[in-house]
Amino acid sequence: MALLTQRRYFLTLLAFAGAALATMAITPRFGSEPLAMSAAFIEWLTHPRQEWSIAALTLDLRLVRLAVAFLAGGTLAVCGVAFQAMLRNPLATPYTLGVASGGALGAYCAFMFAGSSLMLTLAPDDMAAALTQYLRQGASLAGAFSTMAVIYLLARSRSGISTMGLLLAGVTLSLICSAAMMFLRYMSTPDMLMRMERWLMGGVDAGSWGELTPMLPVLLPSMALLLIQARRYDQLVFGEELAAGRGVNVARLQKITFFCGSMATAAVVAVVGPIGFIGLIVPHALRRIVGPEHRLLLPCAALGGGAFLAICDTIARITPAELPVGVLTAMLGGPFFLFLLIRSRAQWGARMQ
Amino acid sequence: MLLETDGAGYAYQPGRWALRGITARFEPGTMTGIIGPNGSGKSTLLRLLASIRTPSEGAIRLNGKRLREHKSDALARSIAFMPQTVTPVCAYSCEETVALGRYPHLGAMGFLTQNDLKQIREAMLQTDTLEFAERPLDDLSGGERQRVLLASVLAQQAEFLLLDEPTSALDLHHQHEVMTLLRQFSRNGQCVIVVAHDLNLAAQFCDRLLLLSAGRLEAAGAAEEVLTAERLSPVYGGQIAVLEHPLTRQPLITVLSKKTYE
Repeated sequence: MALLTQRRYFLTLLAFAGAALATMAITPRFGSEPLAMSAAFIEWLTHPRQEWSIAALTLDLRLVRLAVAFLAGGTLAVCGVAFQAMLRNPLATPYTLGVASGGALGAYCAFMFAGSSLMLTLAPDDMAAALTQYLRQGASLAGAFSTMAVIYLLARSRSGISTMGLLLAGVTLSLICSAAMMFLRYMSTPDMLMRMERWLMGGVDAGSWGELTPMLPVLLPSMALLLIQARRYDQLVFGEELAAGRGVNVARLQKITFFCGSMATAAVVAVVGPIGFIGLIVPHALRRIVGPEHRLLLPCAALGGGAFLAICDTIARITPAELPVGVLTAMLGGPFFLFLLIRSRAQWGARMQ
Repeated sequence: MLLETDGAGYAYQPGRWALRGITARFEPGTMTGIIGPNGSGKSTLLRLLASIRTPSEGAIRLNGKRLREHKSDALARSIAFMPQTVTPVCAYSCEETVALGRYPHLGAMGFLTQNDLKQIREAMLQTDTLEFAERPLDDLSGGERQRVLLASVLAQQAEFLLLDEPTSALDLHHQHEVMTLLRQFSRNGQCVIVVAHDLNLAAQFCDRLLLLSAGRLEAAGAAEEVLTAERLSPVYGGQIAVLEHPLTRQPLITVLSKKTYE
């Protein structure tokens, strides 16, 4: 791609912002119930919650869903780009370093506890639901954060973090978490098992804004910190030594990337479960459209990833079975992964000649 | 401008010294070659000079101030470093790769000015890489990639150019092109420091050679002083003969295998 000019930079960002806004405006229209958008929107905006008609309530639910999908998709795509740059591996995803597995293990523990806790069964329904939600999100975050801490302790070296150490520790911890999850599943009742399975598929069908807001204090600062590293990632991609020779503090950049990327991913997983492949598909597709430079790639990933997941969710919820969106992204992601693999093999083949 | 090491040493693990007691000065207008056998500390010395690593003992100073006391972007405008191997994972074009060399000179948003574009073009012209400008770096051969990388280091426009085996992947013709270019930079007032494997190439182009052996500075001086059979044979092992080049009168180094001198 030709060198990035100021003009192309801003035009591209403008186009992506426009596409994201259009997605936000259009996707709430779709769902199992038809909706008179403008009337419902005015009511949603001007009336207090208690006076809402069914239409406004429906719109509110869809807006929650849209916000969750947008934030989750954008975060996963940005973390994917950042991890691919830090690990210098095009196949890295936000889940490569084991944070999602830790989060899933935490959530599983919460399901076990909630299912067997007398207090939760005796509490009034809405209170029990809220308690269960906070318990699940809290446990998922706790699981993810402890995995993150263990991986950091294993991978840190004299000069910062060893990326090979990160990869090895991440993959190993993922396996350990999976083993623990298998044990928990064996120990649980069919009812719990069903909830666990459903959660693992991932879905953005949050019931209220209350599911999203507790995560924002973790999510937004982490994302902001990742986005302002953009130009340093371009240097890091070419190797730690070259980056250091250009004045990049490599150890600090790696730490910021690892911690912010892991925390943001943990927050997303706590809300929507481990939705797969967004962090892989979106960065690769966008590199082909906007080029490899991170100062454009990262913000486009935030906007494009958000819009992509929002659209996927809309498609998933208008299917007759109302699929969980994680199932849809996985069905798209698997073949895409294969396509990447075949293409890179073809390139290797060409270079051998 | 003066880059100097003062008893500098480095240990990758405590107690295991890769480099020790190196004292040397590097001045603008000179071209220095760092030579020595594998594992003698050549690359380590270059990393210390480039502030990629901090010396475990002793000091390295730029204009009398320790490297760590300089701001990192200011340092990168003074000292450019080219590592031995670089493998990008994403499809940057050659032009984009060279443009990344301007990093220490750009503002927060990283937009290129007319002057930056001129420097990028100039660097590509000098390294004979202009023809690849739009091609992805991944598509090139090893030697072509090395030249693009060199262009990106040149685009950094630093006074001190530190290069770790810049000609290792190049063919004979481009080896000489690149070394001639580097020598020309040193004549124009830059300071060039290269780690060199090829002693003959180093002898031909460098004003001064530093011979390292097992982390120590064995000898420093002009090619004729450093490259003698008595010095090289114990350092490299084996029987080394130093002849005089029939055309240039410079030292010509060959290794005598057992077969040759029996």
